Amino acid sequence: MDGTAAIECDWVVALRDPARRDDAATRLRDRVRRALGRSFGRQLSDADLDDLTQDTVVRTLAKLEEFRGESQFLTWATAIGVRVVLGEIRKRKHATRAMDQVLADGRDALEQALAPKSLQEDAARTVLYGAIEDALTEAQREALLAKLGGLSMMEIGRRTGRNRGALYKLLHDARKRLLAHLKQAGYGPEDLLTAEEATV
Amino acid sequence: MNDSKPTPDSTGNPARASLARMLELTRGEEIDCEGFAEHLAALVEGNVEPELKALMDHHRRICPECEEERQALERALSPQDAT
Repeated sequence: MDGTAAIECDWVVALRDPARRDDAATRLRDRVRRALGRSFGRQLSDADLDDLTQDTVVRTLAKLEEFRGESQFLTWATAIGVRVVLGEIRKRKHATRAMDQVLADGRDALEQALAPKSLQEDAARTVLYGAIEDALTEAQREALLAKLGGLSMMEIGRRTGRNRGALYKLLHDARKRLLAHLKQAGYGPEDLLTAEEATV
Repeated sequence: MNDSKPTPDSTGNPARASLARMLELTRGEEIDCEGFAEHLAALVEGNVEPELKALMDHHRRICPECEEERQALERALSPQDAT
């Protein structure tokens, strides 16, 4: 075992040891707080960063048995912190938008996006619009509209009671289904775009 | 239709571009956000196998939130004022 691995092991061992846990958690909090400050210091107050760092440490301790040593321990813990902080930022960003409003905005965006312009685009867009209406499940359609309505995956998951993995799978299945419908009709995603858009 | 008249399409439609891109990037096998998060620390340290890295690089293209998390982690770990 090299020196780095020994240090990483020491973090985990110390955090598991009731006699050393408090001291190790304090050191971990300091290191994670500095790291999160580098990334989010301009977006959040010191008090918010302190709270979110504490949340990160709690979650890190709860997930300690999941650490497999694929990376340095502090990198792993900071990655947890990044998710905690961005989760809070994304939640605040959309806090005042009710789900009904998000879905209505998503529906508006969809209808504008698939409004026909030329015959070629009209056909491909009509196929896709029909597939969204008829081939997707209600849950898939709601997730797609919420995404088009500007909600983050994290926030859609929170509001629909799904973790991001389950939500991703839901949307992945929806994309595969929509793509299959387009291809079956002889079109591809590029046929949805105008000539100007396709060259961007 | 008057061809000289500007239309919304001439400046692009973000939702349509997003839909087209989502479909264009759709693959049979993809790693999800939880899987991406599980290996993110190893990714930024360059410690993932090529096959997994390809899946994660693809995920970064289709999921702006996970890419945002990767960039935020890179910044957090940047050595400029690390001690």
